[in-house]
Amino acid sequence: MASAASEKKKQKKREKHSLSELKTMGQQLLTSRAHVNNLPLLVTFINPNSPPQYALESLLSLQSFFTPLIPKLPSSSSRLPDSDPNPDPELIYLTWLRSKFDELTHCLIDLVVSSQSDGALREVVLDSMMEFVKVGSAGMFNTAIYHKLLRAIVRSELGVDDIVLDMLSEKYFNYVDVRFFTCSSFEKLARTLEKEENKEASQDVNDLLSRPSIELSIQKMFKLLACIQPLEAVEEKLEMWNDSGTLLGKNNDKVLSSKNVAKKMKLKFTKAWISFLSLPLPLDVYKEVLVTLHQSVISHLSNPIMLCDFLTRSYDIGGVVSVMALSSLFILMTQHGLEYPNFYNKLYALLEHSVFMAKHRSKFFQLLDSCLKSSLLPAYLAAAFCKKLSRLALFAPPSGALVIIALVHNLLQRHPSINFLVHREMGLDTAIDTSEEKNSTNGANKDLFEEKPGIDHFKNEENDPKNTNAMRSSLWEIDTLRHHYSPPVSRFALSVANDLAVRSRTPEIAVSDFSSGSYATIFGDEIRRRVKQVPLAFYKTTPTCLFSELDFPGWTFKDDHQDTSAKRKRVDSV
Amino acid sequence: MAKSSSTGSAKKKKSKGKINKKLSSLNSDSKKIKGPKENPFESIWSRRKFNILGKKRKDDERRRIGLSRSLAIQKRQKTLLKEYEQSTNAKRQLKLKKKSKFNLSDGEEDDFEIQGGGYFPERDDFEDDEPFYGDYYDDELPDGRNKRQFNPHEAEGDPDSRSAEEQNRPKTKKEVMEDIIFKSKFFKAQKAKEKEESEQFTEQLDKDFASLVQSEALLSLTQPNKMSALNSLVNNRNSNDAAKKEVAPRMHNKVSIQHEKPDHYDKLVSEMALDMRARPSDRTKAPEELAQEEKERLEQLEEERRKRMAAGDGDDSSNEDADNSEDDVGEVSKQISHISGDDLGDSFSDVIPKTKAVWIDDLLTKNSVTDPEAEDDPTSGEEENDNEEDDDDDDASEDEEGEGSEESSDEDEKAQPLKDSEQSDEEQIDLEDEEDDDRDDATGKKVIMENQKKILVTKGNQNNDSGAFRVKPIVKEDVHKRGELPYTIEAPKCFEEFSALLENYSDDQVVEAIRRIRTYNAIAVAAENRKKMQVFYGILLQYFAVLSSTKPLNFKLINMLVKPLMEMSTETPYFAAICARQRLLRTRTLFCQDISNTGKNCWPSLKTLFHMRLWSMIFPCSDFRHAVMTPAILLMSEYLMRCPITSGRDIAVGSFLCSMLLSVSRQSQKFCPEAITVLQTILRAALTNRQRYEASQLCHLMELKALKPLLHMQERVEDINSLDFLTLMDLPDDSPYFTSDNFRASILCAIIRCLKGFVDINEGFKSFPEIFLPIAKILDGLAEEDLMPDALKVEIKDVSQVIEIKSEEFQSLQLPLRIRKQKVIKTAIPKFEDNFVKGRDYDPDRERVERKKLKKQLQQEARGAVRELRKDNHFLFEVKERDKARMQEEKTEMYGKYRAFLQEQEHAFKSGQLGKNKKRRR
Repeated sequence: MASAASEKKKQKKREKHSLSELKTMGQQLLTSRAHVNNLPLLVTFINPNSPPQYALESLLSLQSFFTPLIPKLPSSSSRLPDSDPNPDPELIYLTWLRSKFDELTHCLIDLVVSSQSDGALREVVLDSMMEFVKVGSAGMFNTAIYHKLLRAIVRSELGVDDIVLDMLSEKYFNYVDVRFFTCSSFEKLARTLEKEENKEASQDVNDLLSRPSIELSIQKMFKLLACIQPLEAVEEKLEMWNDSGTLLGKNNDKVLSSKNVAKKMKLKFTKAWISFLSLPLPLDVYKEVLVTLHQSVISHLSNPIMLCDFLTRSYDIGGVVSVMALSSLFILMTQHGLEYPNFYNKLYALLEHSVFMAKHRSKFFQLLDSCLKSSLLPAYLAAAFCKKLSRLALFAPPSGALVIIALVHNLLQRHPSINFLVHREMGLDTAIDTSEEKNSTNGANKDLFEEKPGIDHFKNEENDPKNTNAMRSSLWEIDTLRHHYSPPVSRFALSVANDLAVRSRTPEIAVSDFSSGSYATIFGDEIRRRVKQVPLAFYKTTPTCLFSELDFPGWTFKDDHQDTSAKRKRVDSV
Repeated sequence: MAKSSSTGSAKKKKSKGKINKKLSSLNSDSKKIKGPKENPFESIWSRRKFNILGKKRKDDERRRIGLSRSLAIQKRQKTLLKEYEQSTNAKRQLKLKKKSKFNLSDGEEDDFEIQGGGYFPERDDFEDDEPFYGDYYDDELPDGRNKRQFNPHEAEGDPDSRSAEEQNRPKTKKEVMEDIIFKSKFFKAQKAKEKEESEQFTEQLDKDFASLVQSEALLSLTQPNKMSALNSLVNNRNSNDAAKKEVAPRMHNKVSIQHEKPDHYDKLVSEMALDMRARPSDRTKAPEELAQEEKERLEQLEEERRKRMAAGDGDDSSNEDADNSEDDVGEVSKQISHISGDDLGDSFSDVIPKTKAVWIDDLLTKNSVTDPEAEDDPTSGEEENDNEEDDDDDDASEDEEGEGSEESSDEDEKAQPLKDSEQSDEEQIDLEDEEDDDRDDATGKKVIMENQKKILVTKGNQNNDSGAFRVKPIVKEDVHKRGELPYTIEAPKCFEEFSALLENYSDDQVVEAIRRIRTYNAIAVAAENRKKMQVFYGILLQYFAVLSSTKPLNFKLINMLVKPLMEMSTETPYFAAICARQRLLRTRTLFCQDISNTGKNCWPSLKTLFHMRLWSMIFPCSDFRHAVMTPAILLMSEYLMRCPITSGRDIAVGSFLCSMLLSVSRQSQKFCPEAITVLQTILRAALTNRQRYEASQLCHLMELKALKPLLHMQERVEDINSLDFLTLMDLPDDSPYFTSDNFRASILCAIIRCLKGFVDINEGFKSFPEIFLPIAKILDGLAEEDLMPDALKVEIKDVSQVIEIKSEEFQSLQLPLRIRKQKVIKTAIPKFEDNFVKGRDYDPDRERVERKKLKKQLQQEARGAVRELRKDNHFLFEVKERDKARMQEEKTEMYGKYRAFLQEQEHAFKSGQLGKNKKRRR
């Protein structure tokens, strides 16, 4: 108020007559009911087009006029008694006031939402809006105004990083009731948006205008939703925006314990999220949603299983989205007993080359490791994963190869049943084979593997781990990795082979040590090594030129400038 | 009950209540069965009063022995008793049928009886098994059968071991004879072979001896007359050899040689024994001494030069010297023209062809390699003479000024842009230095620190330098006015100094200057020169970098710098490695910056490529881990993996990097997945769209790096030129050359050859087919194209065939992996476990642990079973006992009854009432 007062002074200096007139009008309005006709005049000043000082001045007087009156005002729907021939003049007056008040809020919302008006002004307007909200409906939290406000913000053309959003989330989201009502109105908003979306789809009108606007509003909704912190289990002191403590009008506020509030809040929070997730999310929001879900949302939902529809849908999409959905899905499966029928098949399908370059690979590899942790996995599945991973290692960067070796090592340790991937005695089997051949000449039911042990029967392109034939293969790829150019990889592959040779149980390798690796980490490790000795290449005769054409077949290295320029000319002519 | 009620705490009461509830429910159950009678023992608890450390508590519940016993009894009553009763019934029935046992039956009934034998069939099941296994495993261990029951798979496998046994049957007589014959033949052949080898060996020895005789080494040792004798001997043999070749029967010849040999040879040997012993010649000099000499010589030359300079008039001297210097320059570069123009050419005609470069080389080898045999004093003396003659030559010829000035002006033009880029590079080096010091060793740091300090000093007061900087002002003067090189050059302290020094000089002079700096400040001469040379090495490396980033590339000079750089690296390997690592680090950080702001071409520059190549020449590439090469290879691979291929130039650089990686990994036969992937991707860019689609079905890398058909041939090209690397690198990204078919054909050719190299070095890998077969498919697709030049087609087909043949071969030979079991050497050293818990099994052998566990379980079960059986028997015994008692009772009762009856009869009989008044008696 102090700042407002000083501003007022400034304005006074600048603006001579009309501003002072405004002020006197306001004062008159406050002093007696006789000047109540100033009210509509003042309201007209509150719109995005009027100069900010005017709007501010009129807002100040209007706010101080309405604040004490609001509790007395009848609800806007209850001004029906037209049938009454002699209505109470007081009631008529109040009803009129009510309509003016509605008009005022409408204008205020317009002002808040208009992007071209001054930032400071909008801040003030928002504050006063929130003041109205506080006492809006008979001293209670006015949900209607608040809902209108939120809807206006979401539906408007404001950018995602508009100050109003920031202000709202910073200033007011500490209050429990604000959060609560935000959740509930978001639920409604999401429903209406979805309906519109469906309608559009059915109408099949390709209006390019509404499409981005819906995306924008979804983005804004997500931003606000992400800012809402759900209640911790029991907070001792709940900060309420409306101090009269009316989170829910029906209940007696004194009885309402904080535990109860938390419960209700959780419910609303869940509903808001679920209805939000049913919206058609644009891709960037989708990814962000998946990141925030498992970090901060799942644990605060009343019934996390409700997310399973959304998550399974996104898990089925494939690619990066699947990888990101995996972490939330994993939480549901492990902590909330979700059963997912084709989980491992889908997981198998996620193993692709792009995984090694993806941003979330670290998390993914850790999850992959923990998903394969169960010793109850059938052998064919474990073998298929082993084979697929090691196939990928043939074309992966060194960091990826490291992770793969760790994963394969863990798989082999956990499942002694797939030991044949690294150790298969051929002597006995071939003996059988030959005897069989002697006995029965029909080669139709001969085992392919026994016939030609050198061929890898693993089908890399097969998506169903059951049909990959991994059980008839052997992990030759890990042996190949022993020749990898990068010393950590080749050494690691060798040590794993040694580990498996010793029959004692070696501890599992922590995948998290490798999962966040990249070229940078490996290069950094190499550079950080202490240089102990530097051997040099030996030549009988020291070479005198940088490139020899013997080493680089198909290339020549001519050093003459004239020649190059001549060639360039020729080239240009071509 | 009383005991439990005595415990005071409420909690216990609660639990007790629960237990009581349970108990009552159990009791009610038992009541139903047993009726109202309650066993007082059931309600007795056996409670553990104290916790015993280390002893596991089976249940938290207290045990009620009485209850469990009665429960067990109930169970038996339900099962065992019933069975028993039935069996007794059956027995009774059997007894009834006993007669039939002795009847002859007609089969059917008998069978029926065996099958439906009831609970206690006459023939035991176990007996059935006996003969089934018996005849197979007569000779096996008794526990063999046991094992078989555990794993039926093994049992399945066994019939085959029998078949193997069949193969081991004794051989027939015929086979034995064949064996013997074969063996004797084999031995004969071997003997003949050995003989032949020994003959060859003696021949070889003879030849060696002949060459030895003709060589000079023996000549110096022996006297001339002996020599002639030797020669004659050798010649004789040679002629003999010749004759031998002509005359067919070989054996005959050999005999003749053997006849001749002993006398000549022995004679010679005895004569040689009397020869004078070789005397030591002048000792070979140590490398330090040689270096010292060389330095002194340079100093002397410099002094002479200065004297000459001072001898003339003040004004003229400069002129004259300029002439001199020009001559000096001219002499190096324009040797031939010099000779033709010179009057005195005749007298030095035999000297001049020995250009300076020749003795520079000699000197350098002397400095670095120190080959004591090759370096003899007289030769170096000769060289000195040469030099002096050269100098004379300089004096004599004074008419080459025009040419020289032209050249110098050329040099001026060249030097200008060079200087600009120096400045920036100097700053970079400073940066590097600052980055450097967190880890590397003390010496490197010190050197660099000094370097920085000196840079400051030189910047501050360049003129006031004294002592060490004595030469510099002179150098500067020289540089500005003439193009002569001083003979003694102090090692420059910073790059500016060095570039100032080299201003106006031609390429050859630059190299010569570097050589002189190196000789004058050789490390072998004085220990403190090491630091100077390290600083100089850094400067030289920087010079190399600057040269490779200047726009009109002076490739010749770069090539000439390679040799001194390599030689200096051998002198200070450690420092060289640190410099290289710093540069690598810097290159990588720059690369990361480039790749993070998209749109910028992040493929390595010419400078980076040159550096990579230089390092791969200086340092060995085949080491498992090398301080420089390992990060360098890693960086190259990272370029290949992360840089997007968008244009023809990218393809060129990428494939060149691949061939560089190939040359690096050729010796150690390492596996470079990145290079192979990139080659594959690029090859796919040469396919048509349809083929590309098919290939993408096969190959999964598609989504990672999808290329436009950049290399797809549009028209027919006749000839394939090999690509000129430097020109390519010079061209801009959008040059039309990169979209020409000439380029496409040539780059494809280079790629195919590179691929061939990779196929060759990777052929030993176990997953060779998996790596290369997809590429072979692409190659086949390429070979089908019409527009492909024929020569290229041949090469493509060749490579794809090589791949296919090799992988086929591989697949037929390869075996699945087997782990070689490592034999663990037994040690007497005890192994200590932290936090040892008694009773836990610490056996490291997993399978043994498993087996032990199973055994224990088996034992436990067996014991349990025995216990149960015993209890069953008890139970049955009791039942039987009861039955028996009942029977007994019945019997006695009956007995009593009958006895009473009889007694009564007797009494009646005695009393004479028998038969008379029956009615009354009743």
